[in-house]
Amino acid sequence: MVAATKLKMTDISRQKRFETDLSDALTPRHTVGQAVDLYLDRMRIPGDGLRWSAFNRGVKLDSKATLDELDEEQSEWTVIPEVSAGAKSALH
Amino acid sequence: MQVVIENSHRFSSELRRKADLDDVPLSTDDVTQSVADLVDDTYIDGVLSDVLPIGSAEITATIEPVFKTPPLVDEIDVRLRTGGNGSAVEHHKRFKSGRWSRTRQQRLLQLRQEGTLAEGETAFHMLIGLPAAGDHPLQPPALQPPPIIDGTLEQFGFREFGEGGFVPDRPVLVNNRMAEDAVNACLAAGARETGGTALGALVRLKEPLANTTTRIVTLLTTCLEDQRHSGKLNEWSISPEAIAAGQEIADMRGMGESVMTIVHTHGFSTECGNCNQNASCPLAECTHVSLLDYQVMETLFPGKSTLMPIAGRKLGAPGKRPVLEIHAWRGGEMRPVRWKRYQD
Repeated sequence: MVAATKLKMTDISRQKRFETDLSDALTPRHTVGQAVDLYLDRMRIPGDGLRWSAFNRGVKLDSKATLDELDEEQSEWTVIPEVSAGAKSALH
Repeated sequence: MQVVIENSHRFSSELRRKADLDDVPLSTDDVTQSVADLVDDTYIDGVLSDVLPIGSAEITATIEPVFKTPPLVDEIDVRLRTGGNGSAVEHHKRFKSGRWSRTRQQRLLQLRQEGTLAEGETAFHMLIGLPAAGDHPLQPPALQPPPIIDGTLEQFGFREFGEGGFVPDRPVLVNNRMAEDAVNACLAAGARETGGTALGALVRLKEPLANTTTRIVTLLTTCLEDQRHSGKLNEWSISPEAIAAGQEIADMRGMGESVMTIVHTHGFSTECGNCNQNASCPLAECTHVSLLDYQVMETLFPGKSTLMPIAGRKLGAPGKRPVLEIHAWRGGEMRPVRWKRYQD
């Protein structure tokens, strides 16, 4: 396995793209969940208390996995929240 | 891209019982950063209308309040400048809405829920702009152009235009079959909400289409249904796994499409069938973008070029079938835009 040395993260419509080396704000000891938090912060996307997941080629990554567990082919992620649309205007 | 924001005001969103400044506000939220986010709206508008060049090294954004009477703000003027030395380009837009409008709606719901504001009691909203004292740096939004494909409509299977029209600076084309499927899915689901993942592309043509001013066209090509999404009255839960699978399907189709948005419904009663005529029908109209819908637009699809198609009832529309309304970011909020069908 060749360990990932950088990460590319984007939303599903590929409009907010963020790329970082794993020697900068993120290191191999950070988790997938922490990397997602950094992406949301840098892209100014409100976390909104939603549950967020990272997907690589359609496969959901374990948010608790550390980045050194990922190989190079798993370094491009799509970041997706669990969210609902609809006519309801409730508080969330 | 380096983004410099010139802003000399602090902005707050207030709710008050009376429409004057003497009253104590029911709520006050600092929304200065929300105002700065309008730089992204202006940038994407400039890119899609083919005015702003893609790939500028630096953009300077100037934010100015347009006052009704100081400190009451009527609109926010955002002016972008790129380049220099004879190649400078400017683009500006004015906004009456922004993320603060959604914050205000949430605040209103909170005030009603906690009983501070009685059901039916009116609250007045005010956007206040005060000169900022001292240095007030704002975090600039990440300005990134959306993926745009240089090509033709024919490479996406376009054969001929159908019904509808264009907004000159934001032409939208929707596959006729996709539009019909959305309406039929709304009818089949009744009051329960349903939907799917919409594929499509932003295509830069060689020349603008007739009656348009930009070469960039938004194409919605197909809608993917997936049983992992689940709907009920007033809410449609989107499965992240199904959305991610949509991208895999788009890649397999090999046409350069991507997941552009979701299509969802706001319900339609097949029993009475008079949803378009009945002003007291409890179902929300397809013209209504709810706070939940905005949350989808600001989290799942954070790019400002994203459209939101909603099928459902539309008061005054002829007939007994749902209507498909397409919403786009205009003026800091999602507004219905004209769109045109195409046949493949």
